[in-house]
Amino acid sequence: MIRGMTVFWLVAAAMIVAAMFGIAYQTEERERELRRLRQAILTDQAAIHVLTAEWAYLTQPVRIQALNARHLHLVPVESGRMIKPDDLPARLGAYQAAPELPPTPAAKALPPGATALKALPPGATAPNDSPPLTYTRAPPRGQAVR
Amino acid sequence: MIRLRRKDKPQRSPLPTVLHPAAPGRVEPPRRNNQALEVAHNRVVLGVALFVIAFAALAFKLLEVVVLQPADEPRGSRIVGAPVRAVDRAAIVDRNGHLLATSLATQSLYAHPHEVDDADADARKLARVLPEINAPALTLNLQSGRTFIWVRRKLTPQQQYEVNRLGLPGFYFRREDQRVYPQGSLAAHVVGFTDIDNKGLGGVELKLDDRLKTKGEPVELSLDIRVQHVLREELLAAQRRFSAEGAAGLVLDAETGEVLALVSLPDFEPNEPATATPEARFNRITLGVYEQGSTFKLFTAAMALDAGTTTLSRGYDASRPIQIGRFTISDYKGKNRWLTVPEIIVYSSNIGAVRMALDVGTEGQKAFLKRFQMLQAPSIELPEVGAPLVPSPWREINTMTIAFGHGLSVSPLQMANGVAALVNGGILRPATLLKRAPDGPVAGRQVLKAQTSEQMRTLMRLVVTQGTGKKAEVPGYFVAGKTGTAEKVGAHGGYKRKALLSSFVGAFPAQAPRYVVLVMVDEPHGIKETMGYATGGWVAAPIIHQVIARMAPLLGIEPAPLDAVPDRGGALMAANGRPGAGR
Repeated sequence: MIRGMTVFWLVAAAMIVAAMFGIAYQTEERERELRRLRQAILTDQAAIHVLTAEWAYLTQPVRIQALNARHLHLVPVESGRMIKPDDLPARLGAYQAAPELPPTPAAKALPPGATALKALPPGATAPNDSPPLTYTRAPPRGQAVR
Repeated sequence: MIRLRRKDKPQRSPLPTVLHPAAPGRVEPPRRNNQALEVAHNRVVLGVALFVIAFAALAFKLLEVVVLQPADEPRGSRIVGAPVRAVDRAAIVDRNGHLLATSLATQSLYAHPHEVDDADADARKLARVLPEINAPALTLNLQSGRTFIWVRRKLTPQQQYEVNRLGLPGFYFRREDQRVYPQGSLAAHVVGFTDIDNKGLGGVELKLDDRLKTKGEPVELSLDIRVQHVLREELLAAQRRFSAEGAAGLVLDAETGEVLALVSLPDFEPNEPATATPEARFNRITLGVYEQGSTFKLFTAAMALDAGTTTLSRGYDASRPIQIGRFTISDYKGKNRWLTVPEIIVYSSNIGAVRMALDVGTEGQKAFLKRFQMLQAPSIELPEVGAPLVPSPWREINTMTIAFGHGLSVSPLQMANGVAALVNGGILRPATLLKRAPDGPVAGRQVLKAQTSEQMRTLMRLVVTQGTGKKAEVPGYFVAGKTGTAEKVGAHGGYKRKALLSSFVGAFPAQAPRYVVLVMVDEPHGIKETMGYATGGWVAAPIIHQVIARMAPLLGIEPAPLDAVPDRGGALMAANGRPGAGR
């Protein structure tokens, strides 16, 4: 009986000691990991810092504009070529949502805000009786919408 | 203990022996034995008790730590804050977070001369990898007996590697931050520059030096580098086109006073401040004060309208030049007839402006300009701020010349700030280079009636639709503004006919201005395309057109449909009545 207890306590003590050492080593390991991570974060921060500066240098408006001139040839949109979505004639979505709409000539189906269409030059791509979607295309170069 | 028992009574347990007093013949030895046993027993009990107490304490503590978890013990895992890299000097960014100035780590080479073995040989070796070093000078320096000398500061990584490879004793590296301006000269006059010790020497770097040094987070400026780039590019083009000495421009938020762009040409490269001439470092927008010329007539008109001495439908006699003393005030390309108030602004009549100002009087003009803070240095987050040149004494002749923008020199910044108050409903707000919190209230002072402000918008719009500023118009954005052409003061006093300061101050969209744009070209020369003219309408107005056409879509301002605001200029010009109430 006493021997049984002794063995039990010895085993228990041994297990506890082993567990404690295990935990101690684990803690140390975690702390090392933490130190390593903090160091890595600092290194990354320094790298990000340099990269931000480099990004700012590479995205200078002057440089972007020069690259555009060489590769893309984009030009600023003139104010006369911008219209609001509401000013567009009925879009495709509107047609699908309202299938009962009879295929009337475009002029009838247009909302009142779409009067600008009349200003479309006769030579433009959209004949009068085509569905309104056609009008959302950009007019040929050099011709203003309005 | 066990040995004791075995010696005395190997076959019996100690307990009966102790409790057996019935052996008189063997009293002595057992008593001695019993006594010893008792002592031993007590000691054992005591020892066991101590151990029990100690283990109980341990067990209790263990229980407390593991099971009970006292309140002061942090529960669960604790989040350790990520480390923050220390910066010597905070960055400067624009309103969208684009980097304008930052500090990058570099290594600087220094020496402790007393640790150097062979100064001459070391100096020659260093000069071989760092060509900028003068070997004899460095040798002298190393032999000077000082304890610390800089050899070469802010090396590139390649240079650092080369020096390290030499393995010279007594030479050390030290991390130093190098101030870098990734945008180059784009916003040089605003951002400023620093010396080799990262001490601010100009611009925001100097004005906010303490804040940059102590606080880690970046300083957010109100600038928008896209707008800044557009303005700078257009001014550069104009400066080249008209072979001008310089050019300057400013974009101001009419509602908040935030400066979106500030350009002064010629400018400099802040990464190499040593190459900047004083001329290039001069900030024409904030430090330069100029007689603004005709753009100042806006204030004369606003003053007269606000004081109630005139209305938009009244007129003045501009048929003859005004003679005062030895001066003659006449009109450039005058109409030589009776002009209505709108016509005075649209045709930029000096005579009409003078008559308007005389109606208000000297004191009224002084008080009005004071209210617009035209008579004191403006406040802005720059050290380079010029105070206006105010006439003293302020006689009637000064009132007359100031009416058309001569005799009082103010900085373009003050001019733009004043125009912002003219068009935004009459509220003067201090201009700022720092980004304001969005939707936050902006302190301002009502300096003009809201109705007068509306009238001023109408007048300025007329200048663009009917008058001298036609070239500034951008369809859909309703540019309003005023041209100005001032003759520069010569070296010996008096005005130089050929040296002009052509300017334009505009706002858009006219019905509810969001931005005020001012440009100024210093000594432009007329070219064939402008028929030799170098006036504000020919030189500055086209720049405004370009700047607004490019910046407005960038800032997300929708162009209005062209028929949104009917132009009622014709009615006003004919002076047939007051402007309609509706817009």
